Parts: sequence; structure tokens; C-alpha cells
Amino acid sequence: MVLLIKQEVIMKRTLLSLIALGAFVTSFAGTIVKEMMQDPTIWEYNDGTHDRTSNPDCRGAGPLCATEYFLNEDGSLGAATGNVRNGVRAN
Amino acid sequence: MAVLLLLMLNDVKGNMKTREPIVVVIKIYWLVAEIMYVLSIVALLGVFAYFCAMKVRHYATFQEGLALAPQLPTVAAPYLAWIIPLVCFAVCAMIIYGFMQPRLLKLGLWIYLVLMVLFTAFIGYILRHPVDAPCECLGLDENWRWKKHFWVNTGILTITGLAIWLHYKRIVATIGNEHSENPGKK
Repeated sequence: MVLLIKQEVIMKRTLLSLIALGAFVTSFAGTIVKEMMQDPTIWEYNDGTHDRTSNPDCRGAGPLCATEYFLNEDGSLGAATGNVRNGVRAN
Repeated sequence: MAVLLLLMLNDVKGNMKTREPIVVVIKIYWLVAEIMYVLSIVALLGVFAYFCAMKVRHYATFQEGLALAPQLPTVAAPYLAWIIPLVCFAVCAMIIYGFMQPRLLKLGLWIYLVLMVLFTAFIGYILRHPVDAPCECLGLDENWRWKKHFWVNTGILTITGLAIWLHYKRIVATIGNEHSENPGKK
């Protein structure tokens, strides 16, 4: 009887460990795949310079510092992704 | 998950045969508590896995974001950009393996809580000092505003608290109880 309970406990723990591992791997791999399948994007500053960057520096730039666009194969800007980067905010 | 649920339901069904309503009610309570416990831990692992994946995939953006953050030293940015996801990985490994070693699971959950408190406190500081607000790319999702990050972090903190509470209450007898390593011994 004791052996049976012990076996059940070990089985339950192993199952839980596998469930946890599965959740972690699924979430990690799913995020990577989702990110890889996304079209390449680029940020463009809204200060009139039209400078492009992968990560805008918006310190002290005020609201609506940069806008993110999809990047076409020829390197030109495509449609806006809808993401904007803000600098100093009052929230 | 289905096998685990069957194991638990079988346990409840066994007690139903004894026709002792109180035992059945307690068993159902345990069943709900165990499911809540497992789901909360799965959710916590999912959050850190998502965070790690985002930071590894966008390493350059994360590193630049850290370097530009006025609250952090610039020289530490390249190291922090690796250390933060690695620590999250290590905590997840502790929790996953912790199901076999409950003490490790408890330690992992406490470290998770400490990390979440630190992250939430950092976001709270940013919200209090909006002039020095760094890039949102430091957070869980770069497209979220800091206010949203704060509320999401608060929710994750609550789930972590719930998981630790369930662990200490020993409601989840066979999972959280380190003395059930040898169930036959008293």
C-alpha cells in the first residue's frame, strides 16, 4: 500500500514536471516562431530628419518621437505597424 | 494534464464510494486547489518564457534600451542584457525541476516573487518620475506603455503570491509538501 502511494506521488510529480516543462518550451518556442514570422520593421524619427533606427533614443524628445514601419524588400518604408515610441510623457 | 486530472478525479471517486460527504467535499477542495496551484505555476513559467524569448530575440534593442536608461549605469548594459534573461531561465529551471524536489520549488517561487517585486518597483519608480522614463523595450512587451506594464506586473505578483500561499498551506499535499518525499514514514 505504502509502495503504491509512493509510486503515485512520484508519478504525479513527474507529470507535473513535464507539464511545467511543456508550458515553458511551448511559450518560449511559440514566441520565437511568432517573432521570426513577423515582417521586418524599422523605426523612423518624427523630428523631421527621417532618420531610421532599430531602437530609437527618445530621451527628452517629447511625445510621438518615432513611428514604426514595415520594411519593404527594396529597403523602402511600407505601412505603419501602428507602434509609436514616446519620449517624455506626463502620465 | 489529462492524466493528472484523471488521477485526481479517481482519488475523489474512490472517496465517494465510502459515502462520507465531508471527505468528498475536502477531496474536491484539494482537487480545485491543486488545479489552481498547477495553473498558476504554468502561467508564471509562461510569462518568464515569453520574457526570455523576447529579450533573446531582441537582444540588441534590449541592450540599447538598458544603456539609454538613466536609472542604470551604461557600462552594465551588455552584462545586464544577458544576466536578466539568464536569471529568469535559472528560476524557471528551478521551478520545473522543483516539482521533483519541493524545497527547490519553494525557493524558485520566492526568487520569482523577489524578481517581480524588483521589476514592479522599477516600473513604479518610472511612473513617479516620467521625465526619466526609459524605453518600453525593457518591459515584457515593447509595445505596452509603462502603466500597462505596472498593472500586468501587479497581476503576476498576485499569481505568484497565490502559488506561494498554496505551497505553504500544504493544501497541495502531494506536490507542495516536502515531507511527502517518503509518504510511508511518519
